[in-house]
Amino acid sequence: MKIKNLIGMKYKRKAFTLVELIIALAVLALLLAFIYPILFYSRTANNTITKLDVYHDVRRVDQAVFDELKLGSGVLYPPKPEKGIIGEWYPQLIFRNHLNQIIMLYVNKKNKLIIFNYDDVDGAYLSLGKILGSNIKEFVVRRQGSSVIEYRLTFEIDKRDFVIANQVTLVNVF
Amino acid sequence: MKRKGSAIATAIILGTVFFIAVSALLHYSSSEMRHIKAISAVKKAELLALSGIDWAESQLRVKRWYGTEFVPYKHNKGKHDSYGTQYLTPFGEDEGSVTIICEDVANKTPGYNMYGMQKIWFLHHINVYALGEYENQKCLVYGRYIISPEPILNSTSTEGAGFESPQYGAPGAVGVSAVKTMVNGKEVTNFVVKEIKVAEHDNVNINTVVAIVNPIDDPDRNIEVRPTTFGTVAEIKAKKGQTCRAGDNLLILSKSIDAGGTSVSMKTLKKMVRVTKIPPEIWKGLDIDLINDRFAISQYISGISDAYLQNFVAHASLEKSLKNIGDEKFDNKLSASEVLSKFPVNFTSTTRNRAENTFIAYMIKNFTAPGGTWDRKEKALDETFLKLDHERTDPPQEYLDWLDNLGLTQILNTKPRLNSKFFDPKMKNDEFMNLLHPHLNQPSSEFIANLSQLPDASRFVNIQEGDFSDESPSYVENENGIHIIDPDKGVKVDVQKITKKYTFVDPESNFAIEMTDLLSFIKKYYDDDGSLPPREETRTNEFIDWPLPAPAPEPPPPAPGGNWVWIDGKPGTPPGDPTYHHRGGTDENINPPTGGTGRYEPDMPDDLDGGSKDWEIEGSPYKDGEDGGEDSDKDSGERESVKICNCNKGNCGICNPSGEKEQFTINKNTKWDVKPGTPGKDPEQGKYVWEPSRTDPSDGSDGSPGTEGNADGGADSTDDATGGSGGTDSTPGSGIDTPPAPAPTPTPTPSTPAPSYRSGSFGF
Repeated sequence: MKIKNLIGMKYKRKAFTLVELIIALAVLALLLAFIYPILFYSRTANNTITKLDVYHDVRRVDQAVFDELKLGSGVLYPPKPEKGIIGEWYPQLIFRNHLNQIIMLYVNKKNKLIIFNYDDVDGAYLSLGKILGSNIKEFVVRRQGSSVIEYRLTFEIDKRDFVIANQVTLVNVF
Repeated sequence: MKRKGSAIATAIILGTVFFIAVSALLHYSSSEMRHIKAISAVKKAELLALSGIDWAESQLRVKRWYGTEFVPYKHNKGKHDSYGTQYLTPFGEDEGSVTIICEDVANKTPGYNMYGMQKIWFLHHINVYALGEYENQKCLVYGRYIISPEPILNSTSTEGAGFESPQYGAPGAVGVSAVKTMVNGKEVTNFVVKEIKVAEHDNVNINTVVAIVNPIDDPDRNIEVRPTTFGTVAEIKAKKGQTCRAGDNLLILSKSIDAGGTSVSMKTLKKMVRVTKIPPEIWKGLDIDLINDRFAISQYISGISDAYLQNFVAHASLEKSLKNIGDEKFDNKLSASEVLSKFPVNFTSTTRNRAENTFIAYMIKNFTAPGGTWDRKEKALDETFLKLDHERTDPPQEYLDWLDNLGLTQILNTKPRLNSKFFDPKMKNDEFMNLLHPHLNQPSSEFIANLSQLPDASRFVNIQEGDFSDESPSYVENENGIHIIDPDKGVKVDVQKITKKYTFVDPESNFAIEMTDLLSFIKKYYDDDGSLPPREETRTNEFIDWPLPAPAPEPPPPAPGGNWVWIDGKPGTPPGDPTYHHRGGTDENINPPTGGTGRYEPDMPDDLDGGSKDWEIEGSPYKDGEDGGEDSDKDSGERESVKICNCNKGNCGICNPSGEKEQFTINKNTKWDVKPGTPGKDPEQGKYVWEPSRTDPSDGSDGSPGTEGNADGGADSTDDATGGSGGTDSTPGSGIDTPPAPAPTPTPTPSTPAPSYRSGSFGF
C-alpha cells in the first residue's frame, strides 16, 4: 500500500522482472550443476557397487569352491581323461574331500551353484545341499591328470557376464 | 529475500545429498578393501601353512633334520629329541611366517635282536604341524608323513630300516648262515668253515649247497649250508678255516626282481597324507610348541579318522552308477530330483573290518610308484604285479625218480606249481584278488596277510628209507605239511609246506616293495592303533633302544694246536616301560564330522565276504514339477532333506540311524607325570678263548683231553646234517612287527645210519 500510494497509480504485477529472471536462471543453473553430477555419479556409483557386489560374490564363490577342492582326496566325476589328454568340460563335479565325504557341485535350474555333501546326514535325513552362489550362468569343470581340476564359473548380472577361472591341485589324492 | 533464501537452501540440501552419496561410495569401497584384505590375510596364512607342509615333505624325503644318528650296540637314552621345529618366512620378512613342527610317532611294538639292539623302536609316522601367520590371521594345517618299511625311531633316517643295515647293504639282500644243528642229541652252534662252494655272481637256489661247515667239536662231520631262497651271490663274508656261530652270515645274496628282463629294485615308500586344516575352535588356546597341546591335536585327527574310513566305503551305489555313466554329460542345470536320480545317494553301512579292507583293496588296486607323469601312472597300472619270492625250482632228478617209484609225485603239487599265475599275479582286472581271495570281512591283519604271502608256495621234503615195520601206515596232511609212513615200502616222508612272501612290482617305475610293507603303508592313512605318540620331548624314559653284546671282533692271530673260539656275550635287560599319568587337563567333547561312527551296522557280521547293508531314499522326495530342496526359494539355512531308509527288502520303516554319532574326546592342557620303568641291565660282552684242537694229541698243555676220536666212524656224504634250507624265508632287518623266523632245525642225523638205506632232503 505504501508503494501504491507513493507512485500514485494502481500497481498490478503481470511478469517477472529481469532481476528475478536472472536470479531464477542462476539458481536453476546452480541446481543443474549440482544435480547432473549427482545423477551421473549416482548411476556410476550404482554400477560400481553392483560390480563390486558381483566381484565380491565371484570371489566368495571361487574361494568356497577352492577351499572344498584343495584338500580333496580324489575326483569321481568327470571321468578320467584319456591318456595324456586334458579332459573335456563337464557341468558337474563330484569329488572326495579330505574326510572322504563325497561332494557334488552343480548348477540348479534357478541358476544357483549348489554344493551337495553326500554324507551330510542328520539322523535319518540327508540334507540336499546348500547354495554357494546365485546368478550362475554356467559352471564347467575339466580334469588334467589325476589330481588337477580346472573350473570356470560364469555369473550373469544385468545381461553382463563375469567369468572366473581357476586351477586346483588336490593335495590329498591317493 | 524469501525466494533467494529458498534457492540457497535447496542447493545446500542437494549438495549434502551429493556428499552423502559420494561418502557412501567411498565407505563401501574402503569396507570392501578391508574385507578383501581380511580375506587375503586368511588366504595368505593358509598358503603359508600349506607351504610349510610342502617344505616339511621335501625335507623329510631326505632325513629327519632334527634327529641324531643311530649307533648300533650303543645306549641312546636321552640322546634323541622327539620333535623338531623350523621357523620360515618363505615369502619375505613382511609377508608372514610359518612355524613347522615335525614330531615322531613310534610304532607301538618294538623289535628285538635287530641292528645290534636287543630292543629297538621303529617309526610309525611323523605328525607335521604347520602354523601359518599373516598379520593377525593364523591357520594350522596338519599332515601325516608315512613311511614304509619303517625307519629306526632313534635315528635321522626316513629310509626303511632294512635298507640301511650295514650288515646287509643292498635292499632285498639276504644273508646265508649255518643254523643251530642237533648232532648226536647235542645242539651245535659253533662251526669251522670247511669249504665255500660258490663264487660271487653265482645264481643259487634252495637246493644249492653254498658251503660246508664242521661242528667245532666234531671236525669230521660235514654240514651242508643252503640258502633259504634264490638269489645271486653278492658277497662272500666267510673264509675257509674261519670259525663262525649259528646265525653268522657266511655270504650275502642279492635278490633282484626280474620284470620282463629288467631288474627292479626295492625302495622305501614315503608320502605326506591326510593334509587337514584344523578348525580354529579345536586348536584355540593350544600352542603347537608344547608336546601336550600337539597330543590334543593328534587326538582330533585320530577322532576323525573313523569318518575318513567309513565315508570312503559309504557310497558304493554312486560309484557303480558313475562307472555306468562313463563319459556321458548331463544338462548344464539340474534339478534336485534329477541329481538324486542320476547320482544316487544310497548309503552302504558295513562293518569296520569290511570298511578297512575295502579301503585297502581299492588303494592297492590303484597303486603305482609315487611321482612321475600321468601317462606313466596310467601305463604302470597296466603292468603292476605281485612277485612271489620263490622261483619255480624243480627237485633234482634223482629225487623225482625216487618219488615216482614211491608213487608220491603228488607231494610236488604246491599252489604255484598247480597254477603258475600264483608266481606273478597281475593287479589288473583284480587277478591278484581272485587268486588270493582275501575275505573282506575279516580283521585287516588277516586280510593283509592273505594278500602279502602265499601259504604252501614251496615245500621242503625229507625222505628216509628204513625199517618202519613197527609203525602204522599213515598219510596225514594239514596246512603245515604232509607226514607219510609206508612200512611196506620202508619209507618215511616229511613234507613241510612253506609260506613265501609277495613283493609288489611297478616295472614302469623300477619300483618294488614287499606287500606287507605296502599294505601297512596304506593302513597308516587312517590307523593309529599301531602307534604310540611321544610324551617326552627328549626320549629319556620312553622308546629306549637297548644294545646287544657287541659282535665278535677280528680274532687274535691264528696259532697251531687249536682255535680261537668266540664265546657269546649275554644280553642284558632293557629298561621297563615307563608309566604316565595325567595331571590337570580338561576333556573336551568333539562332534564327529558327518559320516563315520554309527554306520557300522551290517546285515551279516559273521559272513567273511558279507557284512554290509544298503540304505536308500524313502519313496520319491518330489513330484514332477514340485522340486524342493535347493530349488525352492528358501535360503541356505532352511535346506530340504530326504529320508534314508532300508527299503531294499521292503522294510522302509527302518531308517538309517547314522545320526547317532558318538562324540570323541580330546584332552587339552594335560601334563604328564612320568614314573620310569625298571632300570636296564647292560649286556655282558663276549670274548675269545683259546680252545686246543682235540684232534691233535700233542696239544695237551692246558689239560684238555686228547682226541675223542671219530665217534661216528666218519660221516659220508649221505648222512651229512643239513643246515639252512627250507623254512619261511627270513630277511633279517625287513621284519618289524615280528622278528624273522629262523630256518627249521633239520632232522637229527641218525647216529648209526644203516648203510643200505637212503635218505635225503630237497626243496622246490
